[in-house]
Amino acid sequence: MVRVSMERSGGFTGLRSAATLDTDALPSAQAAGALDGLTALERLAATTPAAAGRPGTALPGYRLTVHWPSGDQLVQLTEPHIPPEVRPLLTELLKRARPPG
Amino acid sequence: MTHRYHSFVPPHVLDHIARVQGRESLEPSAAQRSTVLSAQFRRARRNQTPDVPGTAPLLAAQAAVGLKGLTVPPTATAGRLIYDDETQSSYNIKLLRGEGDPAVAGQNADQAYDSLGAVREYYKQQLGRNSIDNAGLNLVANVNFGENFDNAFWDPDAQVMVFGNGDNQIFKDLTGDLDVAAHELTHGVTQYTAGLNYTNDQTGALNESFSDMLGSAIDAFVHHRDADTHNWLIGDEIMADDLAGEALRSMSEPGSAFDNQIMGRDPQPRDMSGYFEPADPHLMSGITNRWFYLICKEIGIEAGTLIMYQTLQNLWPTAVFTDAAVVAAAQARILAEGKQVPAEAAQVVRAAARQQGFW
Repeated sequence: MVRVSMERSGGFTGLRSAATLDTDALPSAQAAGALDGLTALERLAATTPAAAGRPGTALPGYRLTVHWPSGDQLVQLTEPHIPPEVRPLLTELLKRARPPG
Repeated sequence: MTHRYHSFVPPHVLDHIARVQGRESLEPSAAQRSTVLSAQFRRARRNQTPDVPGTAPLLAAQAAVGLKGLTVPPTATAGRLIYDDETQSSYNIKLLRGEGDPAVAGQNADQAYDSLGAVREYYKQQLGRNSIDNAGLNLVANVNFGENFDNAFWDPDAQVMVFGNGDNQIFKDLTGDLDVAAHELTHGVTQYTAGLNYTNDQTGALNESFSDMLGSAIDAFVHHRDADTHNWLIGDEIMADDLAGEALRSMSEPGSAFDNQIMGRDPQPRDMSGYFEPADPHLMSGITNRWFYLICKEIGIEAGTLIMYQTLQNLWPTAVFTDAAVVAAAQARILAEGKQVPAEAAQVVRAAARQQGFW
């Protein structure tokens, strides 16, 4: 099981929301897509900066943290530069998004 | 594209010159323009952005669809182009309507077309600005971006406006409120004027706030409302049906726009007593939004907006709230000399800034 956390912000709305999911809790069809997303995020996390798109702009953005057993990896993404492999995982996270506590 | 640009004059020196000259005339000085351009190049160096997957180069896309009888406006004529993204997360998939073309079946495409036109005309007729870059940049909007995409944005690299359809739980079609297009296209104007950095501090909050100021002013102008009859709400017309009556931001009373289980409670502080950083620019923008509201209540929306537009042209990429107040008061004095705003406008600007806690 891998836990992934997301914080969303930016764009016109500027609404902040957050979500967490465990890959084991996903139905098998979604879990396969999520694992592809995790692999893509791991690749991005190895880059400097760990980002795709334009963090630090008014574009809608997502801070994704993958809680690997070996430690956390943070990746920042902005629209529309979301790697296609990450989109299904992001969709699942957005379904679970709630206002920050 | 990599910009190989290195500024001879250090950025902090350019900022200082801009700070002094921003108070002297209506027109931005060469030094002020240099600070903006330098910051743009620095940002470009930091952010080498990959192409958007699936997005055709704009000119090629235009040439291809031009054969179908749609109007592709000549470059730099402030013409409108409305594209359907067909729920993909790429731009410019299918041209639906060009400048002067008749209405189409897609309501959101027509709403986007009309909103872009209203914003363009306001900037031209009321403020004397020729499109986003003041050089006739064509206005490109993308509708149906992504699946149930709950947002809208200005892409500073692609220079396009993008609208989602909403998820109908929080937002519905984001072309449904003129606030949205006016706010986002003003991010483009900021890009070409003050170039305010989008950081989690007062500078980023100013960037957001100028978009809310102009967005709200354009909404009021188009709907023939004055400072007393305008509702001073942002995004109230795109709320999903279950959230009818809520809004995204209140300029008159920041922090009161929404309070419900889906969105939580509006976190904007009303004034500097609630200021902290780092904070998302959308949080602290309420402080200067209310500054603008207070000014407009005293001297009217038209005069208040003219002062803020002149201020935006004379600020610089690292400006903070106090800088905006000082430049706005100086610009108000210059405009008052020309009888374009009431004689007491500078005092109103300072008093409102003092009331908000940053002067």
